[in-house]
Amino acid sequence: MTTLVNLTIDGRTVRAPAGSYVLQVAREAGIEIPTLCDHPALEPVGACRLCLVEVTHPDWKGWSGLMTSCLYPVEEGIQVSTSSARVRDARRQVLTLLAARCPSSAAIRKLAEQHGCDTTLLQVDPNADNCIVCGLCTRVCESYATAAITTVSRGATKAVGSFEAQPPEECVGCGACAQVCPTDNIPASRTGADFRIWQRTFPTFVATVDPKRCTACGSCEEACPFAVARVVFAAAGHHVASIPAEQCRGCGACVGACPSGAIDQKTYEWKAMLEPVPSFSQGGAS
Amino acid sequence: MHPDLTKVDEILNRYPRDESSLVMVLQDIQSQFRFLPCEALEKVADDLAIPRSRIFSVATFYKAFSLSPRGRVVVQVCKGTACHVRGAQLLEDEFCRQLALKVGGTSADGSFTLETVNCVGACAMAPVVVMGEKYHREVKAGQVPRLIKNAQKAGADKAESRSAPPLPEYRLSSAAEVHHRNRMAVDTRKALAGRVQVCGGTGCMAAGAKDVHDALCKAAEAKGLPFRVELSPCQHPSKQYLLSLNGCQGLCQKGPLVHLMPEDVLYTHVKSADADAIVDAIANGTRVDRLLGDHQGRSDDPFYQGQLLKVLEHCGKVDPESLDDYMAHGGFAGLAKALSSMTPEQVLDAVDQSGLRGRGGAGFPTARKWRTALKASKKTGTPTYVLCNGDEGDPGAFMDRSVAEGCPYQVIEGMILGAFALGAKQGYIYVRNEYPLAVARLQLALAACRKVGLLGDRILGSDLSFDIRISRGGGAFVCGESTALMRSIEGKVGEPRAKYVRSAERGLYDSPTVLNNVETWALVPGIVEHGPTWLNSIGTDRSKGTKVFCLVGQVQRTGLVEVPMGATLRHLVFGLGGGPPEGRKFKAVQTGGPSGGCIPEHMLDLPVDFDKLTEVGSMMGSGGLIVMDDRTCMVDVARYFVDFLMGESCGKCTPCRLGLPQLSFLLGKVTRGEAKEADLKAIEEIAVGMGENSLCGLGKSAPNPVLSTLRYFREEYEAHLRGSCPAGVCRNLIRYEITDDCIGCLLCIKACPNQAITGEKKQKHVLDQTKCDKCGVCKSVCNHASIAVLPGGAS
Ligand SMILES: Cc1cc2nc3c(=O)[nH]c(=O)nc-3n(C[C@H](O)[C@H](O)[C@H](O)COP(=O)(O)O)c2cc1C
Ligand code: SF4
Ligand code: SF4
Ligand code: SF4
Ligand code: FES
Ligand code: FES
Ligand code: FES
Repeated sequence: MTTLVNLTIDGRTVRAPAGSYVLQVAREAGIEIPTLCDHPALEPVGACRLCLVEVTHPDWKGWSGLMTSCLYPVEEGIQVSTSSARVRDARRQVLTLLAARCPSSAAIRKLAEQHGCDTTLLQVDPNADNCIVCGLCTRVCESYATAAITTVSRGATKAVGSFEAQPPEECVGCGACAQVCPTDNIPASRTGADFRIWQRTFPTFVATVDPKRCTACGSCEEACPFAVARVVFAAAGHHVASIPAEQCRGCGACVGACPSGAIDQKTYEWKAMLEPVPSFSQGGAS
Repeated sequence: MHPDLTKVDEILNRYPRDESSLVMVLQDIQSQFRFLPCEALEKVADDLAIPRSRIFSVATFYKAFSLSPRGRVVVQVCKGTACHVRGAQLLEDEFCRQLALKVGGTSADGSFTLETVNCVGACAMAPVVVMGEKYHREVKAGQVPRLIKNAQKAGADKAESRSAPPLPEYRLSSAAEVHHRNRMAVDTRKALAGRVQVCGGTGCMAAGAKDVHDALCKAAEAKGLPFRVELSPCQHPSKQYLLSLNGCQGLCQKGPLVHLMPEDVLYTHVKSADADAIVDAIANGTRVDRLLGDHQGRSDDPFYQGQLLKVLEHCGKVDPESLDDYMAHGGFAGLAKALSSMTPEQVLDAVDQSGLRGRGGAGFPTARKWRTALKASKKTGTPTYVLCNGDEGDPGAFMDRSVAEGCPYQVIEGMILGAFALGAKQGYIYVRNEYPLAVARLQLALAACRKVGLLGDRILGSDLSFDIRISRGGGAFVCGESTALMRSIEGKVGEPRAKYVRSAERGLYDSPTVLNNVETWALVPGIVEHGPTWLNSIGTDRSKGTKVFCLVGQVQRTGLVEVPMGATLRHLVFGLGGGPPEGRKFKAVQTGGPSGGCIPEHMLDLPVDFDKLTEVGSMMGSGGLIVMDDRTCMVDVARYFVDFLMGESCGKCTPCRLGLPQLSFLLGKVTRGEAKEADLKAIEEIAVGMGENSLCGLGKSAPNPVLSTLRYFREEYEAHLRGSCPAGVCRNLIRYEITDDCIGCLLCIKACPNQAITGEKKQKHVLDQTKCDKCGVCKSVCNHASIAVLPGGAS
C-alpha cells in the first residue's frame, strides 16, 4: 500500500503518494513547470535544469534549496514554490544559455522570449545546430529501440552520435528519436517509400487490414507494440480492426499475430510518417 | 592495416567478462595499439555484450583514449595549476611551435603526439613535461628544442621497470600471529646497523632516484659494505644496512633525497655519481657535507618544523613494497586489535569519537556516512561496498598519490577495518590513470595481503571475508565526484546524478556504498590502534586531527606537509614554505583546487580547517595550496580554472556545459583588454547562476575561483579593462623589453623564434616589438635577467 504525504505547491495543499516526483505531482495538480529533458515514458535524469523549484520545510530552520523537480521525491510537509524569484532566475539562466547555444531553434527562442532572456553579451554562433543535449533521443532509443545512438564526448563538445560516427547499423528506422527531440534537431525525411534517418534509408511498410477476412478478434491490438492497431466499431454493429497508415511503424508484429491472415504489409507511399506516436506516453517506463 | 585481434582476446581474458571491466579493457587496448581501433571496439562490444554505441560513448568520454593512432613519443605538457603559475602556457606554445603541432595532434611521420595533461602529481617540480614515460622537471621554454632532439634520438623513453619483489612466504592466521610478526620485524630492523632510504616518490624518481638507488647498490657491492634490500633475519645484522626505495619524504623540490637512519642525515640533490662518496662516508662513520645543504637532517630543517605526521607517519620511512617493513612499523596491529578484541560497533564508535571528517574535500563526518550505509545494508540485506577515492583530480595536489605510493598497506588496512565495521565483502580502490606507480604499488600490496591472509576468506581466522579490486580511472576530473566515480567503476560514462538518495544508501550497483578518500582511510588504522584521542586531541573544535597539504607554486620550499588542523596559512606558506622565492611579494594562495578560491594576504592568519575556508569563499578541497606571487595574474588564474573545468565538465547539465564556455569567452575578453564593466557583471551573473543551478558539485563550485578573485582582486580586473595586466601575464597587455643589464651575449637572438631581436656581441640587444609574439623564450634563456616584462602592451 502506498502511503500518501501532504505537501504544498505554491501554497496549495496537495496529497501525493510518497516517492512520486514533485514535477509529476505538480502537473497532476494542474501546476505547470517548464521542462526540456523530461518525458513521461522515460526515467528522469535531471539534465536540462529547467524544472528547478524552490523547496523548504518547517523543520529546515528557514533554509530553502533549489531542487530538480523531475527527480525530487515528495516528502511529508515540504513546501514547494514554482515561481519564486530564485526559480525564475534559474529558468532565465538556463534558457539564456540555451538560446545562445542554438539561436536557430524556434522552440528555444520562444521559451527564451517568454522568460525575458538576453544574450547580447554572450557568444552566439549563428551556425550552430539545435541540440540541447537533453538526451531524450538516446534514452528513447536505448529504452525502446536498439541503442543505436549515444552521447559522444563530454563537456561543451558533448553531442549525439553513433558508433565511430558511422550510419548506425543497429538503427531500425523507427523514427522515435526524431520525434521526441524538442528542438527538431534530428533530420528525418521521407521520399516515396524511403524513410531516411541517420544517413540510412529504410523501406517502410504499413499494415493494411482486409475487412472481409477480419473477425475483430483483437489479436493485432494486443500484438501492436505501438498501440496503433485497434478494433473499432464499423457499421451496423460490426467491428473491424483499424490500422491508421500514418501511425503504423511498420514493425509487422500484427501480420504474424492475425489468426485469419487478414493483415498484409504494403509499401507506404503517400504521407509523411512523422506524426505523433500516441503510444509513447502510454508505454510508461518500468 | 587490421589490428591483431588475438591481442584483444588476451586483454579481455585479464578481466571478468562484464561491463565493469570496460574502462580497463579499453586502457589496455589503448596501450597495446596506441589508440582504439574500430575492430577492437567491435570485438569488445561482442564479448562483453555491450551495445557498440555505449562503448563509443565511453571511448570518447575519457581523455585517456584516442580514436586515431598516437605518435611513438607522447609529449604531455602538464597544465595543472602549479605548472600553470610557473609558466606552463609558454611551454605548451613552444612545443606547438617546435613540433609544428596543435595540442592533440600527431606528426605526419608518427613520431610525436602533443598533449596537455591536468597534473601528473609532480607539482613540486613544476613546470613538468612527460615525454614517453619519463618526467622532466622545471622545464624552461628555451630547453624545448633539446628535449625534442633527445627524445627523437632515444625513441620512447621507457620508465624504469623493476622486477616485482617476491611475495611473502608465510600465512597469518590469527591476531596473535600478527603481533608476533610485528615484534619479529621490529627486532630485525632494530638489529641492523642502519638504513639508507632513497626517496622513490614521483618527484625524486623524476629527478633520477632510481639511478641513485642502483648506483648505491653497486658502490656498496664494490666496496664490500653489506647492503640488503629485504627486511629478513640475517647473520651479523649489526653490520648490515637496509637499502630501500621509499615513498615521498615531502621535500620533493630538493630531490633525489637520500635519508640515513638512525643518524637522521638527509642528503639532497643526490646524483648517481655521489654514490661512492655516500657509501664511503657510511663505512667511515662520516658525512658528505656537500650534499647536506643548509641542514643536517629532517630534525633541523625548517621545512619539517611545525609538522605533525599522522597520515604521513610512515611515508618515506617504510619500504612501500615490503609488507614486513610495514609490520616493523606496527602495521596491521590495528586490524589485529579489532579482529581479536573489538566488535564492529566499537570500531564505528572509535571512528565516531575521533571526530574524523572526510579528507576528500567536503569534510563530511566519516562515522555518520558509515552508519547510514550500515542501516541501509541491514534494512535491505545487501552488503555494503567499501570504496577508496584515489582520483585526486585537483591539479596541484599530490597527497593521495604520495600516500598510495609511499604506504599502500596503510590505506588497505584502513579499508579492511572499514569492511569489518560495515560488514562489507568487496572493496574498490579507484586510482587515477595518471598515477601508474601508485597502481603498481597498490597492486603489489594487495597481492601480498592476499597471500598472507590479510585479504580473502576468513581474514586472520575471523568471520570477516573481504577483498579489494583496483579500478583505474580514464582521465576525467568529474569521476572524483562520488556518483560519477561509482558509474565509472561500473564501466559507464562518468556522469553524476542528483543525490536525493544518498549513495551511502544506494550507490555502486544500487547497493549501500561507503566512499572515502585515501587520506581518510589512511587515518583509520591509527584511530583503531591507539584510540580516538590519537586524532581528537589535535586540531580545532570541529576539525580534528591533521591535514596533509601540497605546498606548491611560487614558494621557496615546495612539497608535501602535514600540520594540525587550525594551523594558519601564514605558517604553511611562510613558516614551512619560506614564502615566495627571490624576495617576491606574496599575492594569494589558492586552496581547494578548481572548486576552491584565492585567498589574499590579509587573510593569511586564517586558521585552516573545513569550516573556516568555506566561510571565506574557498574550501579545503583535497589539500592543494598553490602559492602565487606578484607574477601571477588573478584574471588569468580565474580563466585558467574555467578552461580547466570546461574540459572536464561531463556535459550533462545545461548551466555547467554552456555556462563555462561563456565564462571562458568573457574572461578571454578581459585578458585581451577588450572587456567593459558590463562584461564583469555578466561574468558575475553567470557564475552565481551556475553555482545555484548546476547538477553536481563540479558545476556548483566552478564559480568559486571566479567569484573569489572578483571579490578580493577586483582592482586587477579593472586594470585589465583599462588595458594593463599588472602581473605581466596577459599577452595582449604586456611587452618584453631588454634592460641595460644586457651584456650582449647573443643567446636570446639565437633563441627567438620570430627573429625579433637583433644586436652585436657585447652590445645591448634590441627587441622589435612588431615582431615579438611574447613567447617568452628570450627571457627563459637569458642568464643575466636582462629581459623585463612590462605591463601595458607594445609601446
Ligand atoms: C567535481 C568533484 C571532484 C572530486 N574529486 C575528488 C577527488 O579527486 N578525490 C576525493 O577524494 N574526493 C573528491 N571529491 C569528493 C568526493 O565526491 C567525495 O565527497 C569524497 O571522496 C568522500 O570521501 P571523504 O568523505 O573521505 O572525503 C570530488 C567531488 C567533486 C564534486
Ligand atoms: S530511428 Fe534509429 S536511432 Fe532513432 S530511436 Fe529508432 S532505432 Fe534509435
Ligand atoms: S538531438 Fe534532440 S533529443 Fe537528442 S539530445 Fe539533442 S536536443 Fe535532445
Ligand atoms: S555540473 Fe557539470 S559535471 Fe556536474 S553534472 Fe552538470 S555538466 Fe556534469
Ligand atoms: S526536466 Fe528536470 S532537469 Fe530537465
Ligand atoms: S604536476 Fe603540474 S600541476 Fe601537478
Ligand atoms: S618525491 Fe621525494 S620527497 Fe617527494
